[in-house]
Amino acid sequence: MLESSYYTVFVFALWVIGIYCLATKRNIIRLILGIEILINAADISFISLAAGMEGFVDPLGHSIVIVSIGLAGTVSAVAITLIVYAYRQYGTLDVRELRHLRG
Amino acid sequence: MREPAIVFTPTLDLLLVFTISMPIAGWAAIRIHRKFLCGAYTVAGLAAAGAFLYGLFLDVSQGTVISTPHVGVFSAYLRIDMLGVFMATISIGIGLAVAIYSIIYMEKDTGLPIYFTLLLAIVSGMVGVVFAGDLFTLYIFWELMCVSTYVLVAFRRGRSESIEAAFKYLMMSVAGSATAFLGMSLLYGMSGTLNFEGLALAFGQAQPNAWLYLASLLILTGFGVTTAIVPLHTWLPDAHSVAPSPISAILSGVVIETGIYVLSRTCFSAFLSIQAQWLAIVMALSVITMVVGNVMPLLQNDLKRLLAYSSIAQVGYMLAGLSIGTQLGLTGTFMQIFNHALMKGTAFLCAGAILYTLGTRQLDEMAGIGRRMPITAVAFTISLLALIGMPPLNGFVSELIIVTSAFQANLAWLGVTIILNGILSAAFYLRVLRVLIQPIGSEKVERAREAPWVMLLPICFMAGLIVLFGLWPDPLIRFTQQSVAGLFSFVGQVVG
Amino acid sequence: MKVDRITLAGVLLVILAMAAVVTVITRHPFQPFSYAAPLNRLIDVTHDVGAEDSSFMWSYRSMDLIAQAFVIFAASAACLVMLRVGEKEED
Repeated sequence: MLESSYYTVFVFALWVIGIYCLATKRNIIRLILGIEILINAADISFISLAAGMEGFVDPLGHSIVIVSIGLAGTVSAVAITLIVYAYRQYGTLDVRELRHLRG
Repeated sequence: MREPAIVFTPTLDLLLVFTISMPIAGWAAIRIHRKFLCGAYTVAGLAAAGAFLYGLFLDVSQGTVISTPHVGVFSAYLRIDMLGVFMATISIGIGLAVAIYSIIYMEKDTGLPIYFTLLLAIVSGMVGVVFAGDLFTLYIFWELMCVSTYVLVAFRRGRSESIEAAFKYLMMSVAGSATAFLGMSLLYGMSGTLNFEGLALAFGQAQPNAWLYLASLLILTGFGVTTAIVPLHTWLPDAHSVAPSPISAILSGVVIETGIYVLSRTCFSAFLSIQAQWLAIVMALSVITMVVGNVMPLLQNDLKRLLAYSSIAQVGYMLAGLSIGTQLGLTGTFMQIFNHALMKGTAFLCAGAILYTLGTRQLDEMAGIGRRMPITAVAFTISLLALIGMPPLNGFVSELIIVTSAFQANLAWLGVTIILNGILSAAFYLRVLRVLIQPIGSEKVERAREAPWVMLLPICFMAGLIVLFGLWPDPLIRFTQQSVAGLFSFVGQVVG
Repeated sequence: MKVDRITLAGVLLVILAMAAVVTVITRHPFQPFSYAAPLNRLIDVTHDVGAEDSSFMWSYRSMDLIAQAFVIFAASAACLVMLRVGEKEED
């Protein structure tokens, strides 16, 4: 196993990539993937820290991640339902066009 | 392993059971063509949960209730202290008012059984958040609460702005939850537990570490998105104005304040050692939040957007009380939470009644509506005056406590800022009042009639409570003080 | 790949953020469990981690699993109400 610092750098890199994705992408599906990246960054952080002691693994971290994966799935399902409805009504997957429709 | 008949406490159990059985009851109600039975079933469930909550209140008065088969630093359990009962009272109370109101307001909508299911899920989630004993159980119930609100904002899906507002709210809120989850993982990595008592024990006397600061900032940002702290508040005006009015009432009134509960709970257990610095950041943010929340509505023409911005300002006051950090400051914050739920709930329900009758949210089209809807106008006036902070009403008492605690803690500039902001906010609240009592401007207003009595019932009851708690705040102050003593119980354990 | 000003600003901020993070991490390395009380629940990696994880989860964190079930229920109700068949209502 690598030093825990490498994992921490990786986790923050993922988090920053997720925020970048949410801030700059126009396609709604990419925004959903950005959210998934954010949640997965936190999950990887939990797993890598659960293995902090040499030769042992902490089951609390693992239980947290198992439940969190389920929650991430539900949140994505709700988001994609909104997108499906928006696409049926307005025919666009571009978040900036949805904003202009409002006017 | 012994099989408990009750999984969580009776209150939470009842709410969850009603949540699950609501679609079946709703389907049955629609089959026999009695749509109002959906709402009646919800009201019955909330009332029963409220009755059990009173029993829980009596239990908690003797000592913190812990409900679990196992207690340990790593097991999940519910830790119910007086603060939990306080917040649960607010949640169930506002939920009850909103459910009664929705019976008539949402009459013409399709999908009504699932509307009430999601409403019960919001209340269950909130009660679970305040009863949770460790951060992860809190996170799960937080997600339950938030997931139910995303779709309720887009419930009236005929207009494009609902979908867009719901989507923006969803994106920002989930990003916030994920960020807070990352902060929680850092806390877990450092201390091996996410339990509030365990966190207080681990971090109470510890040397502040750079990672502790980072975790606290991540948690502040993450829960700050749903609490509408200023740089992260942009979803709020859109989401609260396009949601159906009862949902706006419950969102503005209670969902936002649950974020403040979480922040204060983590502040007084995990961040005990860095409290001074973290609260300084919260203080700066609270001032910015207050100012933005009081300046933006001056330019608004849409009634519900104006009320949504004023929610942001009130959150600023609550954060100011939290950032003072003394027992008196926190008493002010939690009293402000209680009063704001009442005031903003009444205001949004009245705005909904006006919307129901007139069909418009624009202030210049509803000139003189007060003359045609007198009861609604009186209740609306009471809630607006309370929001400004006029003396015989309850908003004044809680703001006075926050300002007093600011002066007591040698933070006189904060007290003066709060007072100035209160005066500034009077500008737009009085503008709404003026619109209510102007001479009648248009045909539509001329033909308007008073709202149905089922909708007036919760409005009048909450307005009555506003006046009651303004004239006689002592029981409420005592209740809040007991709750805050519960919040500070970790501080005593660690220091003493 | 279209490069407009927002993308450029975003990439710049990402690079700055990563530089800041790497600096902080190299100066203050993260020591796991530095504040922890001694833990008595750890699992040895040589055992069957999956089975012991799940027995831990069911005995100690059962409340979280039940709450997760309710979240899944609420989310499926939300999806159903969003895609319901009905008239397009006016507000």
